[in-house]
Amino acid sequence: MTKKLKKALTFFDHHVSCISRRVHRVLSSIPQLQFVLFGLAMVIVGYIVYTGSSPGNINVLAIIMIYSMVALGLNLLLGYGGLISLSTAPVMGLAAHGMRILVVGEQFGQVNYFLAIVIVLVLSVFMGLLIGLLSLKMEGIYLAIATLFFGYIIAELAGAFELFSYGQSARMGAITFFGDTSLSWIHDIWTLYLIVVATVTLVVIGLYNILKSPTGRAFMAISRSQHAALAMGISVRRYRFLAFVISTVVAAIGGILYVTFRQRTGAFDSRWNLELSLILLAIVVVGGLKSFFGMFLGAMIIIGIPEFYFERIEAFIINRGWFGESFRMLGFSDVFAGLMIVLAILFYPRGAIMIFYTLKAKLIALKQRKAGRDVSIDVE
Amino acid sequence: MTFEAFITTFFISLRHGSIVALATLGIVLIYRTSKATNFAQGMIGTFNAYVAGYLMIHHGASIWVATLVALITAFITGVIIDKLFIRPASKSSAVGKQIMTLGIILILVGIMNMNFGLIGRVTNTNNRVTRFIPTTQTVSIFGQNIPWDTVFVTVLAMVLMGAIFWFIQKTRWGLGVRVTASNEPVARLMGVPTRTITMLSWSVAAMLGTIAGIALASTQGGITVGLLIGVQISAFFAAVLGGFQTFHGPVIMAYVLGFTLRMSRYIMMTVFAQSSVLADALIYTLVLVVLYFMPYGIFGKAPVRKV
Repeated sequence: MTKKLKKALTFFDHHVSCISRRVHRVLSSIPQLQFVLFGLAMVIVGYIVYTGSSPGNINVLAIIMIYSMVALGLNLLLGYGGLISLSTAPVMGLAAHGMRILVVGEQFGQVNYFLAIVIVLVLSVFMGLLIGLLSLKMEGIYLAIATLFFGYIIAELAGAFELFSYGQSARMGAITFFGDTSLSWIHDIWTLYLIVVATVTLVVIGLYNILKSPTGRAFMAISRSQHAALAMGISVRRYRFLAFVISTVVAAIGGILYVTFRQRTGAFDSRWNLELSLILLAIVVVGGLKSFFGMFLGAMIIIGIPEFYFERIEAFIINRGWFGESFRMLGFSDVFAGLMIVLAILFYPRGAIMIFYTLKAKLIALKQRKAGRDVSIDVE
Repeated sequence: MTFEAFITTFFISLRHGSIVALATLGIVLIYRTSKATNFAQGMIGTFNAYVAGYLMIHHGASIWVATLVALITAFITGVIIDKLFIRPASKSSAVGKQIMTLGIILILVGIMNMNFGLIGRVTNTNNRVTRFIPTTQTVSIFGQNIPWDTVFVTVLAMVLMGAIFWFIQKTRWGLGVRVTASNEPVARLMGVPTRTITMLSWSVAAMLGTIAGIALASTQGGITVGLLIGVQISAFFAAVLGGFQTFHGPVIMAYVLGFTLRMSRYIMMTVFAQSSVLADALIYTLVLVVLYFMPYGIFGKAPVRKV
């Protein structure tokens, strides 16, 4: 009996390893497939959340997806280009407000949803060129503060004009895609979530392709040594412009996705502020420079865990009033997010994605030790 | 623009410029000694100004006593932040340290929002944070009544910054600060206690931020979490415009920027009858153009780098 079981087990083991080897082979021949698989996994997770006890959490999930995508655009700048930008959040806000202005059409008349996307993206290319102009002269903290200036000017100007509803959040309402198909945040949140996941997956695959192309190699060379890259004939100016344009366009796509999903534009001083720019930067640093899945991990650590877990605990404590009226843990999620950032930088300076590599190394070591022990038993 | 309006605007902007200059000096001090862009400067100041506000509102302490206690807590805050967060991360990159200060911001905001019945209630009361000197006492300068409080804050800031400049330029420890700022590893090899200097610069920066926070809170009458955010951003702009490489450039530019902003707002509102926000945007665009042609600030020079 045991012999039969053992035989069945080895048979099973053999097949599993065969399948996993085959999957590995397919994945390594088409690496883009892993992002598709990840998108499918996110759809499943989203479905579980949506049909579960608190369907509202699907909002958090969508926001995390959008922020990880924008962070990936920033990673292209920071990890591959060695450049920094603190104007990401205002650019996202401008894209969101721009979509509302074009689609609702109070001032200029209504524009088709897809045409509006094209117009906003073209404008964001120009914005990226403007920021890129600054990067030709400055580096490091000077560049960071100069881009902060840029974002600040955007926010100030938006606050001055009625067109941008004085920088405050405004409702966009249900989106009409084709003819009669319109999606509203209240009724079709699941479809909107699917749109978010699909767009994020496509953008991530696009970024992956860019980074594996000669353009990506040029970014890599510039990030290591500008002078060496120049000596090899890489035009540093051109690629700096390109890096800023790409990351600005990705940020604009993030803003468009946000306004498509939430159907509100968000205020410049409470949502699209310096704190969000810094948090996006934190996602890149905490998740890991030059890593793709690290962005999702970073967003999960900084936004996800505090939102999913601690907000509920806070609500719990406030409802019960365990420690009387005065004792409230309102700031707990902020403290936790801050602590996570600090701990991640202290213990994983190369990014939280390194956790998986450490675990993998540990697993291999464990397997080897176990194999060694088995051998010794056989000898006995 | 009348002469009277000019005098009033001049003194108001001098006071605000002093507050920004204090925050700026803190940021530059930390950037030079521990190579970290301190985004938390404003929040550390706000946090300790909360302590002062709590003492004033709930225990009726006078502003002098409250400020003294807040300065002591600021010193401790600086030491804790350096010991727990910044020094262990000394090997991480500049961006890593920058993000570390974001973590500190989030922790401080969280603690301020935790309503233990202590600090958080500062904003909920009708009591007010008083001024250093009541506004009824004024001094006549060129026929304009300027509150003594404005003069006091300006003079206090200038004396403090003058003392710090004297300390940096003339004393033995100041030499240590300059050496640490110029090359930390070599300074350590030469026997300069760079760790103590870094720690002290965090503490001094926290104390400067706290004074700025209390001075600003006393004009507004209350303290909110976002008290120093505007000051923090202005301080960064001043620091970049003046050049991070020097100590005096950012402080001068803090006054210049503060004065220019106030004046342009006034002119925009009275002469052109436009929103004051436009004036801000105009001045900032101008600054950005200046920065394009002088990327390392007006007083700074381009850093020399080995290839």
